[in-house]
Amino acid sequence: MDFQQEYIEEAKQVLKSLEHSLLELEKSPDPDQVNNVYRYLHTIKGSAGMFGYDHVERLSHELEDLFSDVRDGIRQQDDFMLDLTLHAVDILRDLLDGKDVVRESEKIIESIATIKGTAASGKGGRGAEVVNGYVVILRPDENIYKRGINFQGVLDDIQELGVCEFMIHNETVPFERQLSEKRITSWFEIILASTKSLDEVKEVFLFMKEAEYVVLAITSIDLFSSAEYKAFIALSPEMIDARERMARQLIPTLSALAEPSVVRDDAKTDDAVSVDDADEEEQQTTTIKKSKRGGHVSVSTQKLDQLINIVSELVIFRSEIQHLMGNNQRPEIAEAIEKLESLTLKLRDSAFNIRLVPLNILNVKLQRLIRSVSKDLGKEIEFITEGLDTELDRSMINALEAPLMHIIRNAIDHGIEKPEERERRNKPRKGLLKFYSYNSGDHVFIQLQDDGNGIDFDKIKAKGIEKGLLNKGQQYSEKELLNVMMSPGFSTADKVTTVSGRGVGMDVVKKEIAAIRGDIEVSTEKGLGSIFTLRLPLTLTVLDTLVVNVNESKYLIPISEVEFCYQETYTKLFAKKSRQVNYEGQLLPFVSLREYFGDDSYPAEGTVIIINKNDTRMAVVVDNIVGKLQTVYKPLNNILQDVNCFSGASILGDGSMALILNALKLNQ
Amino acid sequence: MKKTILVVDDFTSIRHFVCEMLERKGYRTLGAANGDEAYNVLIANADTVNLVLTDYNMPDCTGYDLLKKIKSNVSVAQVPVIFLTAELSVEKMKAARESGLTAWIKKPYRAETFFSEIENALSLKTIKP
Repeated sequence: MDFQQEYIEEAKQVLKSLEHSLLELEKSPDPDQVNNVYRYLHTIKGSAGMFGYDHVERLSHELEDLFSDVRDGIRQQDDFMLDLTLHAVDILRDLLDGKDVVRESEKIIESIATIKGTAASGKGGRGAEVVNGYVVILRPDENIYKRGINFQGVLDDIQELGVCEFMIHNETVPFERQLSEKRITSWFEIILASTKSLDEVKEVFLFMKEAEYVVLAITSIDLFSSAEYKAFIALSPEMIDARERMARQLIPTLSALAEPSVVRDDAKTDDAVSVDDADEEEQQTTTIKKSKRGGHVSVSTQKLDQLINIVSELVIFRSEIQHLMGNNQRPEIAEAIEKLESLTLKLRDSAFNIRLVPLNILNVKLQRLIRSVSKDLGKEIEFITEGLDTELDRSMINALEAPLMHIIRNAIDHGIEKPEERERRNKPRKGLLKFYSYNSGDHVFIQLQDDGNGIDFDKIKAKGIEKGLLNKGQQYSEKELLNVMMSPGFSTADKVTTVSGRGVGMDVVKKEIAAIRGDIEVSTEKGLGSIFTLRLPLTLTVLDTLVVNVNESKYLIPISEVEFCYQETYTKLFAKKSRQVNYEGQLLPFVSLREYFGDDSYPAEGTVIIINKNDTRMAVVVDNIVGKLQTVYKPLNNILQDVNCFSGASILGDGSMALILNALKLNQ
Repeated sequence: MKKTILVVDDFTSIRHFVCEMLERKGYRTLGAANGDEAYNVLIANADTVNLVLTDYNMPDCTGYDLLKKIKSNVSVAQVPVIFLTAELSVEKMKAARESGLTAWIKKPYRAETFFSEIENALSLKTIKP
């Protein structure tokens, strides 16, 4: 991203100024320079977070803290501190360059902590993280938004403080609606567990009026039954219990505190009066959130699979209803079915979405691979990524890892030249490796582009001939040669290197990609580089298919493979000995499914379906087309694994089963 | 009509980044590299700028100086000012609030909070005649 590059340049400028100020400080202490150092560190910290440089942010934050003490006269500067900070500047620079110096950075932070521990006598008790309990009672003014306060933001900030339990009181209007209408009529009781101090918690409410919030520290579990608390909320004993339970759960140290002891008697008698009121209120009180930053929930894959399974069945059931209602013309029913359809589809999409994760999770692995491979081979690589936020099914990403790594290894090993050679060719010393990813329709595309030498077709041809895969005298197109490159037992590495010579070739990559119903395409230009494009389905379980009929049996053909359909008489089809049809001036082989399945009776007319898969075309002749159906893909079990003309099975709307054709295999 | 936001940050990359993000959301943006420049841009565009979004720590004229300048000039005093800053000092923010600061977004920010704060501040100004 451009901004990021721009940012790195700017941040490095600031680091330079910082270095300069530090060197000046080394000569003689000067309050102005201390101030500068503080300001530079502060700038680095603030900006690093904006661009996601978390380690830069953390390290500069610690340093900033150190120098703020120097500035405020709490601490004296010394050589060790300056040395450490100068070293930290180098590390910050490396971090900005994306180098893996996180461990060094952590070491510096530790050293800073020891400096602080020894000299900061005035600020004791900072190190240990103690979880404190608080109760926040918020009674925002109805017009809080009009005063310029974003109440949602305040709630978010509270959640940032730690773990909390929200209780909404007086929710006569749904809270979501209050937020969207910017008219808050509810009030809130929040139990919060946070490592922050009382003052830090109060900071969140800086922009609110004093009367709108109360923050109480939970020093004892008795708080909820105390008179102080009752002044804010009248609670029944059950409600007190509930709060005590919540607080104990959130704040472990509370359990260790003394159990409730005295002064509860007078509270109890008074309670009786307010119980009715409070009960009514309790009914309107809902616990909405209990969250740890961000609001993510981790769910076991088992549960997810179960959900997907149920949703899949629902999709089938929806088809079944549609099927049963096929001839029913009652508009109300048709409308209801339509609604059901749109809801099931929405449900299905959200269910599948849960399984999707961004490709980003591969990033670290790829970067590490690139770093180690390029080091091993003495090559310099610049790795650029774009679209890492593209989402794919988790299982797909897992399956993609090995082939992607293999392609990258190949690109660095065979594609990108050594730095000296690149300089001779007027290319930048660093080879460029780009990783692009984007969504298009039902597919995700991943492209890996390098600016290396491109694929050497002469080498492939020579190797192919040597391996007996190609004939010496024959001319081959580039596409054919690429196909050879991806066929089993082909590897052009001059010697078996630890990098790409692991006995796996591009054929394995192709197979692995095909296994997740993806395609791989290669384009290359000699001397300029290559692009590997992977095309992958968004999910593996739902498939749009064409339902065809062959002698009362139904088969499914993935819609993505169907290019064209037309009707033809059998006499015409079988007129010639060779099983070929003329499509767009091209002779394509065809397979009649009746013939294939050993049926020798033919109807007068059949339907020809032109299949196009990975640019390989053929035709399949069936009796007729039944319709289009969205099916849930189920793999065939082990016994049927060898039957490769079917890729899977699915259940039709009427509950019967149909096999999914793998048409290209019919012809082999 | 598109709302105009004046973005002030001495870091060009951040300024550009914030501007682009806001423009993608459909706002018009103006940029300035420090408080003095921002004040001049604001005066020159007093009738179009709907919001000032500024960093706090900048050389020469800080965000706080800028805020005070804006609030003491009647012709632009009604323009809401938001700090986008890594500054954590409560005293400074209290002082800024007393000087008329509308909101304070901590860097780095969460996108939802960021845009809702901005929307909220912008709707403020339209309420007032």
